[in-house]
Amino acid sequence: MMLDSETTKTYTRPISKAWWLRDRGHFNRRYFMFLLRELTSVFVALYVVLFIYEIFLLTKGPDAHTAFRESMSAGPWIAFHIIALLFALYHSYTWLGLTTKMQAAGRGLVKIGTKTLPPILIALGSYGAWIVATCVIAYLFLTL
Amino acid sequence: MSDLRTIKITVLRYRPEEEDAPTEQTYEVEFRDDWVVLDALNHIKDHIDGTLSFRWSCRMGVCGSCGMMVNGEPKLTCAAMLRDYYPNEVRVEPLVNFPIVRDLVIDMTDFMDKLKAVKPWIIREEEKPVSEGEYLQTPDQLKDYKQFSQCINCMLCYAACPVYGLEHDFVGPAAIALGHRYNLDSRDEGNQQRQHVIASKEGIWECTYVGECSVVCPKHVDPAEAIQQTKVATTTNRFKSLVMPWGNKK
Repeated sequence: MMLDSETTKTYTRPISKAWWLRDRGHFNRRYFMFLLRELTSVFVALYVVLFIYEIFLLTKGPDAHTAFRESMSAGPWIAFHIIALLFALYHSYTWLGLTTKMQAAGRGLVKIGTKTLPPILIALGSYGAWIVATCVIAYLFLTL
Repeated sequence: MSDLRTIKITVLRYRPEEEDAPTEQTYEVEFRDDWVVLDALNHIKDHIDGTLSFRWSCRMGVCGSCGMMVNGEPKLTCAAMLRDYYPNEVRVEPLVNFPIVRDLVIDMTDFMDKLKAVKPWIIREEEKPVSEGEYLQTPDQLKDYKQFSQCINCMLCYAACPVYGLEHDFVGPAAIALGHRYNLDSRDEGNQQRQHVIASKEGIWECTYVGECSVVCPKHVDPAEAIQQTKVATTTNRFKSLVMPWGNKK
């Protein structure tokens, strides 16, 4: 039904600021997980700022950098790093999981000839590449 | 008729000539095991309160008219069995994220405008004469878009999408899925005409992938998939046009 907005008195319901927690008396887990995923960016950004600061301290000499590293062993900083790691893992997991959406059977983006690669292969390939890249970086950091 | 049970149905009512904001009204309805929420609403209208307004048509999940919030979730009321809610109360509201016109009837003007904007029809640069026959298509070409063509414009995905609720400029799940459906159609040549709507900030880039649109879709269209596919295709095309500006295709 097309309405004349000039003459029709409609009512627009307000949206609660806590819609992701409780919307019209109901908890929707997916809304909550979505907002949690958005929140992961904050922790990833904070970690990056900290990391850039650490690199900056390298320019100030070994003493400044060692003092920074030692200060990071305090309980609150360890807690922050654990939380940031968990959020980064969750963000990466959901982001790579998205790859299956581009690869639904029959109309996927990655094809070999006319055959679409199964979404599960794309997801496993993404997660596999993620794990390999993580291992390579960890190996370089721990051995060099 | 020994299988009759009684269930409470609370309906959000809005009578613009009488009140400035919606109120609630509860009805007690005797129902049979095979009744859906829409049957209860029709029973209320026919036997208890003829002033109750709501939309419905086919009663078989095809027309997309009877979408409402049932206990907080966007549902086709013709497919929501009362027995699944019994003995609890059922709360019926108009689809959220849309203005209410009266009772359970929403104003769908915004959706209709957006649907029209994506040009959900086959566009040809030049129509061939009828004498040359149909535009043929292989089963594989049909498979590319068939799922997205199942959309019945019920707008449940708009009610499920918090992005649309918060940012009304968002073109929205169903309209983008339908635009994508025609972009994938081998007979269509209108991709570029749809791009300024679909690939805009208010189009696919407004979507933050909550994914709820695909969860509530009664026809398994998966609009979230259409949007993510379009994001990749648009990015790939833009990159190609930067690297190979001479290779632009319609």
